[in-house]
Amino acid sequence: MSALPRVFIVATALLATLTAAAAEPLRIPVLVPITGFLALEGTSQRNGAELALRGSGVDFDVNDTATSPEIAVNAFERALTSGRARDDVIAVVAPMLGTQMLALIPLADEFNVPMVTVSGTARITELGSANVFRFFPGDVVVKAAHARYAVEELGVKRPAVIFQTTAYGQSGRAELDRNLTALGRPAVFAEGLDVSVKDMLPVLSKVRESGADALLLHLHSGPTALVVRQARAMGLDIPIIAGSAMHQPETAALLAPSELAGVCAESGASPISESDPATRAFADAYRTAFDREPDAFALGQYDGVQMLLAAVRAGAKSAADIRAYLASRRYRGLAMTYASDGKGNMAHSAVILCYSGDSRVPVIVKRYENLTGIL
Amino acid sequence: MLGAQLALNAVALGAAYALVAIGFVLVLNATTAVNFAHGESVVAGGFAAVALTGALAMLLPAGNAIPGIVLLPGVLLLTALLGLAIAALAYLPIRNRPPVSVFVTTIAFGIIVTNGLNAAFGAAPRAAPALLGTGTIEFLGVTASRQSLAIIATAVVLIGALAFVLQRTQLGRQFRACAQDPEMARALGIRLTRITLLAFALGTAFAGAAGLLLAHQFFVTPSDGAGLILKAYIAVVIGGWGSLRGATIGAMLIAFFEVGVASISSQPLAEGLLYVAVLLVLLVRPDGIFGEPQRLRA
Amino acid sequence: MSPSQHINALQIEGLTVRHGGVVAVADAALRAAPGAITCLVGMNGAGKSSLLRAIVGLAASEGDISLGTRNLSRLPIEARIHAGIAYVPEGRRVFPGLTVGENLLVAGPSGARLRRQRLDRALDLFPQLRPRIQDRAWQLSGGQQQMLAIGRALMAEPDVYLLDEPTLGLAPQIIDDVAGSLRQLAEEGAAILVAEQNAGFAERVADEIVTIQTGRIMPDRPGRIDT
Repeated sequence: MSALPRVFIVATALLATLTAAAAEPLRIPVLVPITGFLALEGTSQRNGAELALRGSGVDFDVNDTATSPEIAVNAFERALTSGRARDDVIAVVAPMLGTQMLALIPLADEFNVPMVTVSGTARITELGSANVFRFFPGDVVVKAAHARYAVEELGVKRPAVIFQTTAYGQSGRAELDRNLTALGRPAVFAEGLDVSVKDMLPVLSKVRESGADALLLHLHSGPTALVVRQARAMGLDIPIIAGSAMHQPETAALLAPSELAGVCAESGASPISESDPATRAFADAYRTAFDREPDAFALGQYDGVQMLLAAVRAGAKSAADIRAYLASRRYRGLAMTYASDGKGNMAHSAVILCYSGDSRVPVIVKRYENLTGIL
Repeated sequence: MLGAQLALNAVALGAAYALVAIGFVLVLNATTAVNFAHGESVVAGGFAAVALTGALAMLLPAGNAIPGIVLLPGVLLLTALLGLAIAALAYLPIRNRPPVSVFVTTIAFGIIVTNGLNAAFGAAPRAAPALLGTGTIEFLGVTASRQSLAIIATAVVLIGALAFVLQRTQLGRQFRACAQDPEMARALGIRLTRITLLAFALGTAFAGAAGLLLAHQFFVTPSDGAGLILKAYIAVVIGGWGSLRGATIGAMLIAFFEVGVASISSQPLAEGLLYVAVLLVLLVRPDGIFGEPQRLRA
Repeated sequence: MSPSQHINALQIEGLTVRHGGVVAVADAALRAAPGAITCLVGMNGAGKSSLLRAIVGLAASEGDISLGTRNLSRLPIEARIHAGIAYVPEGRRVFPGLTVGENLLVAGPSGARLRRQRLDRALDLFPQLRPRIQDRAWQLSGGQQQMLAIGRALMAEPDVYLLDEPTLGLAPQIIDDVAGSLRQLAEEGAAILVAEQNAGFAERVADEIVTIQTGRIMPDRPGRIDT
């Protein structure tokens, strides 16, 4: 073959590749824990992301990160190095499990790709990474609401605290303690529980014996419901103010409405309790798409992804563009208005919701806006 | 009052665990096979209760308020069928191979059950209804949990029925004969396969009943099986490999550690102390408390 | 057993039993007639146990085993037992955790009343078991366990009793009792095949003696016992 046809073939191939590369859609991998002890919350996170990404023109693929940091790290690397050009990935929806987020941060910094998440663990925005954007109020925010509602609204004087021994649990407990002490009502009893513990009677007996007048929980969904059920079964009727897990419809579904009397929870939002048209439209679309009730994790992730899509519509084409947008702009989402505090904490408001005892749909009894003063 | 309440809870928990351990021993005795799918059988019972509750809620107007005890026959039947499936698929085809083959097949079966339940129900915890209502009643001067009392009563009835069958019927005698000397039992014309199927059906049904009993207070998730087979194994090691009475004692001991010791100290310490206790029992009585050294094994 | 019931003879032809690669019994033939005690005499390891186990079906074999006109050779153990074979193994092997009564009942037919009737019959034959009926079998002496094992075989009202070394480890007085029971069972019409090392016992009790040596049945030599 002479030189000319060869050059022609190579040129065509090169052109085809360049055209293909230019036509490649942008990618946002979704890495979420949909099995394991955080499956409930992780599925909500996935659903929220998916609802926002469907029909957006952005490619996304969902990967299960289960519960171990290694699986999350592998999934992240695979998502960023698989198949097509790495540059298509403009952001990653990262798992809300604290221990996994902590493992992913060095990786996100190495690849220089921003992560959006709804993890509540405080530490993820304290490591100095420019690539973490959290669309759920962190412990600093929600635990302030948690403590303030108990002390200022309910008049609690001797709170007891039960927390999970995971990273999420430990960091929440630390914030709760700090807030309670600052309010002059330090905990009279505190104990950490492994996620596998199912028999709550021992720890609840100790709570009763401590003379506590309220029980503050910072546990995942299953353990929260177990505590509520078993507390009521043993006749421990003091008010229970639980963590975000208690606002989730699936958690409430485990309990009879009567068991929920006197139970409250902190959360970034409670979409099923809201009556404004936009949130209700979101809730209806969510129900149709996934045949379940939406919760604050779904809504927070939805808002987070919508902010990413807003950035794309505003002309962002690369990971760097996205990062700049998230770090500098304000976004009015369904749950609240989001803006970075410089460390990647986007959400600064929280709500307290309570169950009346007649229904599994809670009522929002107090809103705490802009607890950090950023907005 | 607190001590009595804790004690009642421990007895109820022990009663449920006893059902699990007894079911485990029934299969062990008839076949010398360690059924590693046994924990998943408990979980299957819990989910059977969840599924039946859902079905009844759709069919009946007051379906949402069904007391859990009504579900017991259905749960027993469904899990007995599961037991027959385990026997037919994971045991009978390889019964002449070395025991380790049964470990593998039953572990595999257990994984299939877990994944199947995960796919059918999702990974989130589910709750079964209380047996005979929630709340407390005054019982012998103690504020007692209704569920705890109901669990104890149900377990007593089931274990009593089993004891009656084993001690007073020809089938029970044949069963015990097979446990003690399978070859001699065959030489008397006893059909070993029939006894094996019965053992798996009965043993798995007991596990399923325990699942129903536990799923109200403790919920049930598809991955609960691993923890439960461990408890059954420990109960049987403490109580004596192959002894039904020993399995019950072992189960009670585990429950008392979980509830009692944990309420004084902490849960991780209680678990550690349980293992220390197991070691102590084995040092003093290597065959377990009721281990039967005079047993004949073919 | 009522005399009106037809009792069959046990016949084996060309029976060969292998254990792994070793031939335990080669081309054996014998007949155990109803109403008679046939003793299979031979040393330790001559093949007596293997032969009995092959007849009952616990060991695989080639050749023919028949009970009357019925060919049992291809049938599984359960079927052979229900056809009328009963087996009393070496070492008695009573169920240790079951009581005397339960050991007997478990070997009995379906139907509680029939079982009770036969239980009474067994206890008539072995009255020394009556006072111990609630005791667990592991508590019995060797001789009592042997009685129990034979009584257990009786519960099925078999045509054929196969006994493997029933006198092993028993005191002379007990051996007499065993001999007496076997005589009585034969008189009632059953075919009894006893494997024994003890030539003296065989002499006393047998109507017919068959010698087995290194797996082979020796030809008849009336009046002489080779051990």
